[in-house]
Amino acid sequence: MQKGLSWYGILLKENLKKRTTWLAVCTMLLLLYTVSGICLPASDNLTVGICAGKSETGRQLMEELQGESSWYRFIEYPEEERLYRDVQSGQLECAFVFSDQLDQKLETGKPDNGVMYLCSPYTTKGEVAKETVFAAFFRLYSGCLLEESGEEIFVQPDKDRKKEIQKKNENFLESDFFRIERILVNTKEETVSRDSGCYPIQGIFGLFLLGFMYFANGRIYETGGKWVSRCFSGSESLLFSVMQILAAVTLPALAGIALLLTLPASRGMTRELIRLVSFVAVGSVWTAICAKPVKSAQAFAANGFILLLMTVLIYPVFQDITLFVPAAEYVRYLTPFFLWI
Amino acid sequence: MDMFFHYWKMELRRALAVFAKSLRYFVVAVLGFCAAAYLCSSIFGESAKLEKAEVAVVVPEEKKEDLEFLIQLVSAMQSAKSICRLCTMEQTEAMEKLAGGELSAVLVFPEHFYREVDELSNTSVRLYLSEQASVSTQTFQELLEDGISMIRTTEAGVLSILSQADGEKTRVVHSEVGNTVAIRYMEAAFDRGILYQDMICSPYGNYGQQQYYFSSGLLFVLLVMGSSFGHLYIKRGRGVEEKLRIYGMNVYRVSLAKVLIMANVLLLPALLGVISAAVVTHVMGNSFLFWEIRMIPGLFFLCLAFAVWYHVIYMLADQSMTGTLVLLAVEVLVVLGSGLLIPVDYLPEFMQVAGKYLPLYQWNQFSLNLLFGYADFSQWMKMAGWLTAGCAAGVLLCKKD
Repeated sequence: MQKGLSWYGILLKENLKKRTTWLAVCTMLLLLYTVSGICLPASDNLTVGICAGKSETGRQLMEELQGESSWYRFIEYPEEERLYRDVQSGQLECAFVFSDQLDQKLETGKPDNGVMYLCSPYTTKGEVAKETVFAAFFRLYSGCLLEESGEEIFVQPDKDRKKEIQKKNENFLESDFFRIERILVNTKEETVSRDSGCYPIQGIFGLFLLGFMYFANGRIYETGGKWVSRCFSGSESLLFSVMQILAAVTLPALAGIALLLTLPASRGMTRELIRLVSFVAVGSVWTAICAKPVKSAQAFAANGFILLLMTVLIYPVFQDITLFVPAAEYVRYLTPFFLWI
Repeated sequence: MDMFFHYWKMELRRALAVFAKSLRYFVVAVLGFCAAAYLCSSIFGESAKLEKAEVAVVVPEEKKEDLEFLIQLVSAMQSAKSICRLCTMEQTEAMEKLAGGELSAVLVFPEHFYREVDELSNTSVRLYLSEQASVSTQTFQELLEDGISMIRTTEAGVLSILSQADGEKTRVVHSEVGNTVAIRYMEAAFDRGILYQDMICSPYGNYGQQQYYFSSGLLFVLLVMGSSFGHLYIKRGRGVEEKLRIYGMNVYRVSLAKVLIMANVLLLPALLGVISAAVVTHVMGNSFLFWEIRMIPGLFFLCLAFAVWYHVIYMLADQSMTGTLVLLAVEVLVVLGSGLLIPVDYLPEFMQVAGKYLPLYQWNQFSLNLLFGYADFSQWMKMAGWLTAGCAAGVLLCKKD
C-alpha cells in the first residue's frame, strides 16, 4: 500500500507539471460552464417581445397590451436587433415590431403590413399572440371604422356627431355586455414530471473523467513508456496502472466537482461526492483491466473514442435511450459509469 | 522537387493505408454524428412541443346549425388549429370527460346566445376548466378572450352609431344601419391577416435544418479524421531526419508535404459525402443539393484549411495519449461553440459572441453557402485569411522546432 501511495505521489507531481493536463482541465471546465448556460426553446414560454417604434399608435398599442390582463407577458424592446436575437435564441416565443408609419396607415384606413411578426421554427403559440395583438389593435382601429361607417350611413357630415360617436364608442368598449364565466373543476389530470431524467452537465463531466482514466493507460505508446510497463508483473503491474490512472484523474476530478457544486444542475453535495468517489475508485480499476494495449496507438485512440461515444448513447447524458430500447438499462451495468449517473 | 514529390507520394500512400485500416472507426464516428444530430433536432422539437387542448363546445338547440358552422369556421383558423381541437358534445358527456381528464375545457353557450348577440343584449359564455390548467388551456383562454374582445369592439361600434342614427337622415334604411356597421367590422376582422408581415428568425440562418446539419456533419467528419494523422507526427530518429535534410527536405518542405497529404486524404470523404447527397437528390427528385463543378475547389480549400490547422495543433500538442484527449476535448468545445450540433443562438451569450469568431463557425458558413447557396468573394477571403494565419503559425512553429 505504501508503495502504491508513493507511486501515486510521484505520478501526480509529474502530471501536474504537464501543459496538456492543465489544458485538458481548462477545456473541461469551459465546456461544463457553456453547457450549463444553454437555453433551448420551451413549450411553456409565454413571453412576447414588442418594439413599439416611433408612431403614437404603436405606443398606445403597446400600453394596451401591457396593461390588459393576458396570459402572455409583453416586454418592450427599444431596439429591433436585440428582439431578433431573443426570438432566434428561443428566449421569446415571438415578437412584434410596429411600423413607424402606423399612424398614417391607420388614418388612411389601410393598415397593411403595419406590424412585423417575428417567430422561430419552434414557435407554437405565435398565432394566438397575433390574435391578441389584433384584438388590441381592433379597439384602436374601431375609431377609423366608425368614421368610414358614418360617411357611408349619414347624409350630412357633422363633426360634433363624429365626436359624440367616438365618445360613446369608448364608453361602450368599457362595458361588460359579453363576458366569460370561468368555473374551475376538480379533474383527474395527471401531473407530468418536467424532469427529463437526463444529466448533461454530470454526463459531460463523467465522460471527461472516463477519458482521463482510459487514456492514462496509453502511456505505453509514448517515448519511454514501454520500459515502465516491463518493470512490473502480476498484481504490481495492476497496482501501478491504477495509481497511474488515479494520478491522471485527480486534478480534473477536483476541479470539475468544485465547479459542478456551484451550478444549479448539481444534485446536492453529498450525493455528488459519494457518486464521484465510487465512480473514480471503480473506474480506475475497470479501465486498468479493460483498456488493454492494442497493436497500435491509433487503434487504442479509436477504441477510446468509441467507448466515449457508446457511453453518451447508452447513459442518460442527453437522451434516455431506455425510452426506446428498455434493454439498454441492463447494458449500463457493464461500465462503472452507472455509479456516476 | 523530385524528392519532395517522392516523399509526398510515399507519405500519402501510408496515410491512405492508415485511413483504410481505421475506416470502421470513421464510419462509427459518422453514424455517431448522425445520431447526435437527430437527437439534437428531436430535443429541440420535443422541448418546444405543445400538447393541444381538447375542448368540447356545448351548443344550445336554438340556431344549433349556425353555431356548429361557426365552430367549424373557428376550428379552421390557424390560431385555433395550433393550440386546440374543438368538438361539439352534449353537456353531461362533456362534464364527465372533463372530470376524467379526457378534456382540457368545456365551453357552454347560453340557451338564447344567438338572439342575445343579435339584439346586442348582455350575454356570457361559461368556461369549465381544470384547476391545473396546462399551457395549451391557458392559451385557449387567451384565444377565447381575443374573440370576445373583437365581438365586444364590434358591438360597441354598432351601438354607438345606432344611438346617433335616431332622428338623423341616413342613406340606408334605419333597420339596416346596425348590419351595415357590423359588416364593416366583420370584414376588417376577417381580413386581419393583412396587418402582419411575417418573418422567421431561424437559428439555422437562411437554410433549413437538414441542410444545416448536412454541412455540420461534413465538417464533423473532417474534424474526426484529424485524429488519424497522428502517425505523421511521430518523432523519427535523428538519422532519418538528417538523411531527409541532405536530400533537400528541410522542416518547411516536410511540413508542406504533410499539409498537402492531409488535405488530399480529407478531400476523399468530403467529395464522397457531397456526391452521395447529389445522387440521392437526383434519385428522390427533391431539391436538397445540386452538384456544381465549383464545389471541388471550394471543398479542397476547406480541406486545406483543416489540414493547415491540424498541422499547427499537432506541432503544439505533445506526443502523448493525454495530448489525444486534449485534442478531443478542444474539438468538442470548438464543435459546441461553433454551433455544429446546437445552433450558436442557443448557447450562453459569451459563447454566442466568441463562437462567431471560431474558425469552425466561419468554415461552416462557407460550406453552407458553397453547397446550398452562393459563397461570395468576402467568404473566400475569410477562408484565405484563416489559411494564411495557419500557415504563419505553422512556419513559426517550424522555426522553433
